[in-house]
Amino acid sequence: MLMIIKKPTIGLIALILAVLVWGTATFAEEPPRPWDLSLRFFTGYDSNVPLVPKSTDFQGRRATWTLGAGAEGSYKFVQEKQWELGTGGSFVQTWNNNNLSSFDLTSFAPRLFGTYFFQMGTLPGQVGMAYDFRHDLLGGNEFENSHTLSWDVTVLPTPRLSTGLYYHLAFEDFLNEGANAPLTSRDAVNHAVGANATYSFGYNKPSIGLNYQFSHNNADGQNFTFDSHAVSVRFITPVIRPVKLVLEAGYSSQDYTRFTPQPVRTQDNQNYGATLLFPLTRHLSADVGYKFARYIGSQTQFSAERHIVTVGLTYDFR
Amino acid sequence: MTKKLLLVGACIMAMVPASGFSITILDTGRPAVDAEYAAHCVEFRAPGSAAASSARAAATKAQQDETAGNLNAAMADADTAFQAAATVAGCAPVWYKPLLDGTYHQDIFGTQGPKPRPSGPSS
Repeated sequence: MLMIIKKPTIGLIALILAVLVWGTATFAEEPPRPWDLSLRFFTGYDSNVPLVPKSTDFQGRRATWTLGAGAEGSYKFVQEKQWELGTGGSFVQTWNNNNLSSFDLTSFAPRLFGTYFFQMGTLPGQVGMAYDFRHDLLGGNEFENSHTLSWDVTVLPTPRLSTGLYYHLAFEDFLNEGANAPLTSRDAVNHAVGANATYSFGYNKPSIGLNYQFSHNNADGQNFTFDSHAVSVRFITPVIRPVKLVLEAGYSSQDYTRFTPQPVRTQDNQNYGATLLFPLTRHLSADVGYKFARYIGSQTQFSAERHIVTVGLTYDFR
Repeated sequence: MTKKLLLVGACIMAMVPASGFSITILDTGRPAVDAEYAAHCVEFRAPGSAAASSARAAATKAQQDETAGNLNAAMADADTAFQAAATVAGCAPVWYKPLLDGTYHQDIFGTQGPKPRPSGPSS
């Protein structure tokens, strides 16, 4: 003790070590680690990156091999038992070959979020609010900025069933407003309401999730004002431990209610996907996926198909 | 100088949270690790609760079963920990974390794309 008093530096180190030991002893009530981070590298094939319509005399290139890298993470600067506040975001960069570098995507998407956790009787739930900003560039040129406010509420009626409702309010701002802004501007205020549910049959067993969303896109250009109904389903099942298969399907119906000239444009869009997830270590996982999208427009210039194959490697700082 | 470096190092260590666990509970197929995430979350959100005891006991057993090579039992233990976690607000397991990809936020279809195309009806 005398030595510690005489040597303040040693005393401070001893104090810090004591705090660390105490922290380990009370590990259970320590706040969880406040940050999450994952890095991802992927490559793949996209059969129609410019989304060229089927009925066209377009002679340019449309298929590409893509290379991509990204990171996403979050930091919770307040992490209490019943609520948390944090910031986070993601960054993605893709590179296309075959002279399609004008479609190379650079995307910055920072966010702020807050969540409040509550018990409704015996049922656990949470309400969340978030602000998301997104800045997209294509081929190094600014393409779009968006600001999205979102509110959501989730309740678990049973430990295996999660149900939720949400509302998103997005402000979209595109650099290019087209040749005739009152008709062709895509700048918009987008309202989306939705409901979702996920049921899991247990740990390392299948789970199924459903989502329905209605959205109204109030665009400055009347050709991009639309109402949309969308449903999607996701089924996840173990295949051979620890490999998992993710099957996804989605359908959306869009009515472009102020489209000019008549007749009014409608879209029936479908997408399907299958992805195999391979956990390699506690931190590292690989994935191989295939997605197919079919766009069926009431006018042939809005009908297209797209096949995407992706192989990826993700590192999670768990 | 050495003492100062030691002091700085100790201070940095003190600032790093003792726990390496974040709060996201994922079914990664590694039962002992996943059950530990679940137990840790419940112990933080609802310390001293029946759910916390249940999740901790299940996590401990998952570790023992996994070490003994009994993977089926370890997965059943992880399921018990997950179910306990799902009764506590803020500890619901996340069944799927979407993969980052390079798709556009807005569907560029029907918009003439980001740049005019060389030819075609929509350019």
